[in-house]
Amino acid sequence: MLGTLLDKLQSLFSKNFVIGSIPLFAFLFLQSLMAYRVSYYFQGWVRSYFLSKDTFLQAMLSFALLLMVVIVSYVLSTVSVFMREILEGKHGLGEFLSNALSQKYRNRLITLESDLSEAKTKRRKLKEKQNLWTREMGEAYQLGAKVNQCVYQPRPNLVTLSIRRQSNQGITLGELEAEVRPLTNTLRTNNAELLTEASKNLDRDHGTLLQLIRYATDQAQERYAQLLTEFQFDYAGEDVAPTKMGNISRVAPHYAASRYSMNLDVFWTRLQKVVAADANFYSAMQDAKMQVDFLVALIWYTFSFTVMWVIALPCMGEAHDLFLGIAIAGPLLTYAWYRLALQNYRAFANLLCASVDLFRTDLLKTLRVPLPANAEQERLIWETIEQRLVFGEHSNITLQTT
Amino acid sequence: MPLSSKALARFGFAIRTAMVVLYITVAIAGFCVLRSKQMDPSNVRYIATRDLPAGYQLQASDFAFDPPVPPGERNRLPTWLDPTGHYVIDHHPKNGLLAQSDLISTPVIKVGKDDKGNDMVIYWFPLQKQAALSRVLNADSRVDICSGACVAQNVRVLSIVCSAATTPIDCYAALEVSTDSSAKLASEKKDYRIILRGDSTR
Repeated sequence: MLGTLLDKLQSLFSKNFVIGSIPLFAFLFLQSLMAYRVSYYFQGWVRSYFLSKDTFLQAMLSFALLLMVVIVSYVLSTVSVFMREILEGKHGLGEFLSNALSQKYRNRLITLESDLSEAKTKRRKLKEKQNLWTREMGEAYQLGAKVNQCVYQPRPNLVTLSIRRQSNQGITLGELEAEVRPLTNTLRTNNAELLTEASKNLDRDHGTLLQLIRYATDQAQERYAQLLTEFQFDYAGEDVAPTKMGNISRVAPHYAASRYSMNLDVFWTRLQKVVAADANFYSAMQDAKMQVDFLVALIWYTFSFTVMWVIALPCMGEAHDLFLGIAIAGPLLTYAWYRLALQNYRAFANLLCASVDLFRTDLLKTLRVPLPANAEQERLIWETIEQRLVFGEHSNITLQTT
Repeated sequence: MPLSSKALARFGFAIRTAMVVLYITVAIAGFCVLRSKQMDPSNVRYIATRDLPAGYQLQASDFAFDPPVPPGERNRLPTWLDPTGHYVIDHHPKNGLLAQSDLISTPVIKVGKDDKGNDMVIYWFPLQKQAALSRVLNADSRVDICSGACVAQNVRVLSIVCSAATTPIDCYAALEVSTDSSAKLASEKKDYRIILRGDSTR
C-alpha cells in the first residue's frame, strides 16, 4: 500500500522529495493531534469541516492541505543544509563558544592518538611474540616428546587467564609471558604425549596457552582497528569542530585534501557529474545523503515539537497526562535520531571518500587534463587546477587534445 | 589572554550541562505548574456567567469551571462532572457559585401566581413543529402563543423538556399560563405557534 503510494507520488515528485517530506508530514500530523487534544476551537473546526458529510468540502480541504505541505516541504528543503550545518556547529556559536565546545573533541583526539599508538605497539609486539612463542613452545614440545616421563602440576594462573578469556576480559603481554616461559621449560623436559594424568594436563595447558595467545592477539588487533576506525571516520586530522557531526562532516574534505591535495569544496560539483555516470554508485550515494537529510529533519522536528509543547502545555494548563510523555520521550528520541544520523553520516562520508578515490581520474579526463605519472604529480595537478579555478591564476595546464 | 585547554574544556562541559539542566528545570517547572492546575473532581464548582433563574437548563456558555478547566480538557471530564443540560434548582445571579447540589438532571418547574394573586398553571406546548426553538428558549424566556391572533402574550417559559430517547428528539416547552388561557388552548384545536418576544431577556 505504502509502496504503491510512494511509486505514484514519485511519478509526480522526485523520490528524494517524497521521502524527505515524510518527517514534515509526521510532524504536522502530530501537531494536529496535539492541537485537537488541547484546543476546543480546533476540535470544532475539524468536526465541522473535516468530519462533515460534505465530501466536496473534505476533498477541497485535503487538497489544500496537501498543497500547503508540498509548498512548506519545498521551502524547508532549501534550508535543510542550513539545519544540518547548525548541528555541525557551523552557525551561531562565535569563536569563543566554538573553541570551548571543540575542546572536548580535541581532548578526545589527543587521548585517541595516544591510545592508537599504544594499541599499535601492543598489536605489533603481540604479533611478534605470537610467532616466537608458538615456535619456541613447538620446539620444546618436540624435545619433551623424546623423554619418557612427565612431572607436571597444572598452573593456577592459566586457569585464571582462561576465565578472563571466557568473560571477554583483556590479557596483557606480561601476563602471557609469565606463563609462556615456565611452560616452555616444562615442555622441554616432560613428555606431553603420555597417557598419564600429568602428561594430559601438560598437553591441555599447552593448548590453552596457545589459545590465550591467539585471543590476546585478536583482541589487540580488534582494539587497534576500532581506534583506527574512530580516528579515520570521526576526526578530520587535527581540525576539530564543536560537535561530533561537525567532525564527521569534515572527514571527506580532509581525506581528499590530505591524500590528493584535492579541495573537495571546489571539485565536488564537478566530481558529482562524473560519479553520476556510474548509476549504482551514484544511487548508493544519493540514498546515503537522503538518509542523513531524513534523520536531520527528524532531529529538528522532534526537537521543535518537544520544546514547543513542554512550554505550551503548562502555559495552557492542558494535557497533563501527555506532558510527562513528551518531556521524557522528546529528548530521548531527539538524541536517538542524532546518534542514527551520525552513523549514517559516517557511511555517507565514507562513500564520499570512495568517490574521490574511484572517480578523480575520470574527472581529470573530463577536464581534459592528462593523467599524472605518479601520486606526487597528481597532487601538483589538483593544486594547479584549484589555483586556476578558484583564484584565477594564470598557471598553465596542458590539455589533452585527443 | 588565551584560556588554557582545561579552562576551555570546563567551559564547554558547563555549557552542555547547563543546556541539559535548563531543559530538566523547564520540564520539572512545567510538571509542577500542571499539577497545581490539576483539579480534584469532587471539589469542582461552577460560576454562573449569566443570571440563572430556577429551572434554567445549562448550556456550555452559561457557566465557568472553578477551578478553571481548559477548553481542551472539557470533553475529557467524567460525564457526571459536565453540568451541560442539567437544570438549576434555585435562582443564581451572575458570578454566583453553583455546587453540584444546586443542579438536577430532571426539569425544575416552579409555577407562580399572576398579578392578581391567582395561581398559574403549566401548559405543555409541543415543539415538534418548532424544533429550533428548543435550543433558543429556556427558563424565563418570554413568548406569545398565536395562531393568526395571539391567545396569550408575554408568557413565561418555565422549562424546556426534551426526550433524548426518541428520534427526532421530542421537546416540549413548559409554559406558565393562566387557567383561562390553558382552557382556551386545550379546547381550540388550532395550529398554535409560539413566538419568542423581542423584549425577552433570554
